[in-house]
Amino acid sequence: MMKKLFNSQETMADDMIDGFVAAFPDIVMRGKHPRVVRRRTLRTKGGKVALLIGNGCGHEPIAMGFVGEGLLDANVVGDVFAAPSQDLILEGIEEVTGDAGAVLLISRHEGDVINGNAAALMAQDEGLNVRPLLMYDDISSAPKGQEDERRGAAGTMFIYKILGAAAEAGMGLDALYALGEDVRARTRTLGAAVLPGISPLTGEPMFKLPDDEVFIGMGVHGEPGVGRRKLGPVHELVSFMMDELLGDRHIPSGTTTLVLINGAGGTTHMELLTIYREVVQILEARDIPHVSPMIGSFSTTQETGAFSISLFTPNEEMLTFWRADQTTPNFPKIHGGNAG
Amino acid sequence: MNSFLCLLLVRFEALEAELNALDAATGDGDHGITMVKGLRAAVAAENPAKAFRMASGGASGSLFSVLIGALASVIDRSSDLDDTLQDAAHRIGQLGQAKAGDKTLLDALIPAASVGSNADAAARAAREGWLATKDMAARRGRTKYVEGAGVGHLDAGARSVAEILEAFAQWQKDQ
Repeated sequence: MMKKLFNSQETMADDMIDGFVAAFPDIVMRGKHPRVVRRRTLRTKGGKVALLIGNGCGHEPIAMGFVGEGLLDANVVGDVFAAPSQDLILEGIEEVTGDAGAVLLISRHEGDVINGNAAALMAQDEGLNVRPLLMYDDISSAPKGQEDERRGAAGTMFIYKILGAAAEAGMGLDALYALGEDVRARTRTLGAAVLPGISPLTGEPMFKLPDDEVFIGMGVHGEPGVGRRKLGPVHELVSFMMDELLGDRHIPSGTTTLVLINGAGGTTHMELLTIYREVVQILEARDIPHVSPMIGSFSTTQETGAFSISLFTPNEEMLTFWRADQTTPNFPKIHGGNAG
Repeated sequence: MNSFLCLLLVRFEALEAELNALDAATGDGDHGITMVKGLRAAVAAENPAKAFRMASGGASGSLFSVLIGALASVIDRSSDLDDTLQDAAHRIGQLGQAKAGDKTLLDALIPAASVGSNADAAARAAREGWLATKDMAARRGRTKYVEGAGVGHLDAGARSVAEILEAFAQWQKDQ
């Protein structure tokens, strides 16, 4: 039996958005369409490139929690685990796009890609200068050499943040798009799951897994993973995952690296910090300097017990944008992350 | 068209749990819910395909709206079933970057579009195509990301295509 707190399946997305805009009225508001959550004060009519994304809900705080100064201009909110329709994404594009154009972020999942690309075409037909940027980072979803077949996972948050700060600083559309591609090329993510979340649509666990096993390569929608291992001490699991990540994209010693440990909703902060400990021990053993991490449950799938490790090697400009201040309801403050 | 949509809604409400279960084996288990939600919005809408798409969302919203739009043109404008289904399969393939054998709804739709303009034959071909998805490894959609790429499981989207075309054959007989 499902024990979740909502009024009805029909209203759960809208009820949540009501609460969100009521909680942060100085930062966000609803657009003309009630499923478009936008900044209260848009600068995109004054020359800033707009940055937005559409996604299914049920993964909060991503992505509506990242709307605000220095990050997204809008988030188009679909139903639970379902990408918004092309018509709805078009409403979001129309709401925020000015003369400087827009980057429509698309996390590479089937519905998001189909509906996002269709929406961008419709917007271009209306004369809006919109460029869809596909985001993908999950190394478990396609082999090395087929990176553009991979799906988007938590590492896409590097793109959100860096493009958000760059757009705020006045970067033009072409440069912004190229920056996004460059961040994407430098990012890799791998996830692992131990306990299923319960779908609020069906009331059922989203996958089945024996008590002593861990799935590697968990999907953000609770898709069953692509491989299993026996669950042992966490250092063994993290060591396996780091070998996979560094085997997919080698990081030479001395290369400054950002680590993102994302929890899927049912993994505790205590566990996430323990995982981070194991990650940095491995990086330090390889003489890889690590700064300005992000650790917490930001891209979630209900109460799924799962986490992912993302590694990203920024250049100086990217690191500055990563650390730049932002005013959003839920994106964390990024600290220096080194003792010196 | 509306009587056809009403029939579709009745049949999908009866099928909802089965579709959710098919989808749960390899995905997030909401395919039945998505289809019913879209059809409820499509019934009595001025533009049923768009209403379906907006209410369903996700990949299935866009892809099935093409098939619903295609059948609307067969019913309301007497377009040829054969040509219309072929056109729909082509557009769905383009939208989803999928082709025959990828373990998607196209594996029911493409066979149905290749048997001429008889609705019964199209429905039968769609059902056979759906059953053939069991042994396929997914190359599109969320199923691609699961253990064994879903081999051994029937595709939920292809099941829905078979249901839609069986409903269409039934609707034609009722006219």
